Formats: sequence, structure tokens, C-alpha cells
Amino acid sequence: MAKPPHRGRLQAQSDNVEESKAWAQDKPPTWQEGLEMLNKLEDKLSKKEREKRKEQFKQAERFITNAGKSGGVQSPIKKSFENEKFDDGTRLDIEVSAGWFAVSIALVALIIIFVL
Amino acid sequence: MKHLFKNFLEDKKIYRLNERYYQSMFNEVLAQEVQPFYRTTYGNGESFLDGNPIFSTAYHDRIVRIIQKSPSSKPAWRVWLDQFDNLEELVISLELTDQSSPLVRQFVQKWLVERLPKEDMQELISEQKARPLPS
Repeated sequence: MAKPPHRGRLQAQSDNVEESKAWAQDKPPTWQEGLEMLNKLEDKLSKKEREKRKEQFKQAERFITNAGKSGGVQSPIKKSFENEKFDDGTRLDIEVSAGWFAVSIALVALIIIFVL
Repeated sequence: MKHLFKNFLEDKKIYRLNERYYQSMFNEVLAQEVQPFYRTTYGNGESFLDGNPIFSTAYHDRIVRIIQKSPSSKPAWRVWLDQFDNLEELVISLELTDQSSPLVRQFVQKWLVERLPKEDMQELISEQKARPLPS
């Protein structure tokens, strides 16, 4: 079976932590859905790990919101937001491995029309 | 220690020169014209211009991704191994200085040209971590 055309993940990493929220779907996630996924990832982390990535979640949120206002982003995309205060690789990654991410609803409609 | 392309985040022209600096370095190390791997633009064509990443390339089944930070008094240098899809990735997060630039070249050479196994690369990363760059 063919893989869905829009795939990627948001990932919280360090030497001791690896939590992610992935997507693989026929329609590109909108930027609002991207922010929801980011929230869900945050919820998966312990209070301590959330606190360590407080600023990095804000940076990722800014990136997704900017993308939403600027036509989304198309794969391949990878961004790492690091917390340099820690020596254990504490960071938050955004990976878009196929298709589009953080688009506006209008762009989703256009992409669907184009594919059909 | 001297920072290179100091105002790359403030001046678009300097940012473009900075990108070309990596492009030339990678071209030399790989002895061919390399292409950036990751996109660094939004759907409307506008560039991120945030250094995250400032340059990347894929060579066979391996990637190098460079994240460049703005200058500070204690230059950042962090390296880790990661994956993107089915490709192995070396990530270098740094402040570009006259000290870190030769190190980038060395790590790219080891990872993409000599194709060091991941375990050996990890050892090299740990060795370098134990010897911080001079401030």
C-alpha cells in the first residue's frame, strides 16, 4: 500500500527523552493542526521535561504560525530548537519528510483540487 | 578567536555569503558541486534566514545539516547523530569562527567522504566535546 503523501513528526529529544507526535495523512496538516500536535507532544512530557523546553516550544509555535501565514512548508524540512543550557541534547525537532505541513485551510483546498 | 560572518542574522547579503561559504567548503571536500538538501523557504518562497539550518547536503545515504548561531563570548559547538527518513544525519550546531570552521571541514570529511561508521563518529564527537573550543 502506498504511503500517505504528507508525513512528518514533532519530536522532543535528549540523551534520556524521546517522545514524538507523528502524522501520515492524505491532506497536509494545517498550521492549526500543527499547533494542536505540538500541544499533544507537550502533554506527553513530564513537568520537568516540559519546563526544560519551554522556550523551544515557543520557537516551534512561532515557526508553525509563520509557516501558516506564509504558504506552509514543503518537505524536506528539518529544524532543531535546542536548549543550550543543558549538556544532554535537550531539544525539539520539526521534521517534514513528505508533502506539506502547516498550511492554511485555503491551501489545503487548492492542493486537493490540484491532486484531483 | 574570530567570528566569521558575524552579522549574518541581521544582513541578508551577509547571510547569502555565509551560505556560499559552506557551499564552497562542501564542494571542495566532496570534490563536486553539492546541492542543499533541506528546504529553507516557506511555501510563498520567503527564506527562513534564521540559520536553522544554514546549510545541508545529502551524499549517498548520509546527510550533513549545519545550524549556525549568532556570536557569543563562549562559542557554541554541538554535534550529534540523527536520522531523516532512511538517511543517517550528522548535525553540527555552531558559531562559525576561525576555530570551528576547520572542524566543520574535518567532520564533513570523516562523515561523508571517509564514511566513518556511526560508532567511530560518535567517538570523535565525544572526543571533541571533551576539548572545548577556545573562547
